[in-house]
Amino acid sequence: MLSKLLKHEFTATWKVPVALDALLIVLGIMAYFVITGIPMVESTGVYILLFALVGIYYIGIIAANIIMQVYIVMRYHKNLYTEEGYLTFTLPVTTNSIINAKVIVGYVWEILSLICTLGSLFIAASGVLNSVDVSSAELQEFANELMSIFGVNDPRFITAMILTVVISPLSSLLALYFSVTVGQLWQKHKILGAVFCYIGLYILNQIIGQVSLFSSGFYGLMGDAATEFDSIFSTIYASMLTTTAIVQGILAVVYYVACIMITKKKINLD
Amino acid sequence: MSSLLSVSGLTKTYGNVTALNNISFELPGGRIIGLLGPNGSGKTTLIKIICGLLQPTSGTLTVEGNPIGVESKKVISYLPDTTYLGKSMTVEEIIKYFRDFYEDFDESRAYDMLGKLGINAKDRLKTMSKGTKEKVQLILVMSRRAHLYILDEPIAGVDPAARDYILNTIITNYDENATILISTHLISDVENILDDVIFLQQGNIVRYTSVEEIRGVEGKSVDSLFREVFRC
Repeated sequence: MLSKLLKHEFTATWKVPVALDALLIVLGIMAYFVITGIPMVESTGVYILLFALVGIYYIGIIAANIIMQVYIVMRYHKNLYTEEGYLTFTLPVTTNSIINAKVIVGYVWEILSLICTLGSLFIAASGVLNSVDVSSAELQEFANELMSIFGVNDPRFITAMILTVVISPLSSLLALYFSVTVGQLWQKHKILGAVFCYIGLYILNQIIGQVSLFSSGFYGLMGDAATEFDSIFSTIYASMLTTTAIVQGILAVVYYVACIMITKKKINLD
Repeated sequence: MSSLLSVSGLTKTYGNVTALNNISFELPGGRIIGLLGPNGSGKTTLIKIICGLLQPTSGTLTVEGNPIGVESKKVISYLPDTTYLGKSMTVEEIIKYFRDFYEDFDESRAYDMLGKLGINAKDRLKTMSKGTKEKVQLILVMSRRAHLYILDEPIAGVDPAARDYILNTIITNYDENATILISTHLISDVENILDDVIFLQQGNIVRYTSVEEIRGVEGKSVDSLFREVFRC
């Protein structure tokens, strides 16, 4: 039954995420043409114009990502905890399947949005690089130096980066779902309950993040970095990303299990 | 007669308010049963618990021997007292949805009923009037060959002509071994199709009897007995 739930979930939700992803790419292309079209001369007017355009571009990118998050979480709330829930929860399927379908589809849209955001930034950045007077050799040298500092060639860094990119969107998605699920336990003001829960989770997340960075020795490494910056920079980032990935992974599991348990044991459709 | 639905010691409380108070009853197959009571008597709470939309505080329920879950949902066809279908969906899309999830859904029966009412399956639900939406929902629910139909206020808020259509649809579209549980407070409209009635008052079952007995032994209509029992 999970495959049927997935089919209907994708069918019901694809329009908004695809439109937002297309918008992200279009924004990147527009930024490219605007940036390459502006004459790069030292002038206050040009700087102001560039600053304004970059600002508008970033606001567009951030807005598209926020709308995506809101859309996904509203879909979850509407389909499970409003009148539509009367149909969803009377289907002959398990609660696990219902939640799994929402998690998988939401995660796919989140990852696609991330890819499109990175694609958009890449397109816009290539416009900047085309506009400035830098030779490809200089650019290559700069890129190599940057990659060396961040440890991009270090397998620990790469592994940690991949884990973080894969796990963090899942964790943030499940935090939203968990908040909505907890909110529906309230007799009244369920949406307010969900918002309070999310704010609480955000604060808790920050505290857990800081505590785990301390306990993983990240701040110790930062201290060392003051004297041996280049050699230890990649270690710092690998350590930070690994810790983040582990913490977010644990939180994702907790959110997921809690969503399933609450929905199974405490369903409360008014 | 074997039991289709068995409810034992069912209680549901909301804080200090008791919506259902330790009720027990059994529903046999092949009956049309009215779940009757004034507003706030616990009808909708009971129905939601049977359908798995609310968790009881205590007590047990089984449908054909199975606890509330996937197996019970396979045989229950539920019509809530509100529009519960995605408003941006077309009727055709909703039919596909039902066909995918309910093995007992009879697609041709659904299209046949839609055709008789002149409802275009390509129309979106949000473009329809309240009455038409309710008819579409009823058509979908009655197009299943379920064992237990649970209809929560199926005739509330529709005009008398639509009520006749709805009641006619109900009695002509269920298998004789199936049971229909209809919750309503519009007694006079439904009493002619009922076999049994359950009177619910403040979360307690105050009467569970056959309509034949009410009429034959007590010499009353269900409506007049209801008014007597629930007199304010």
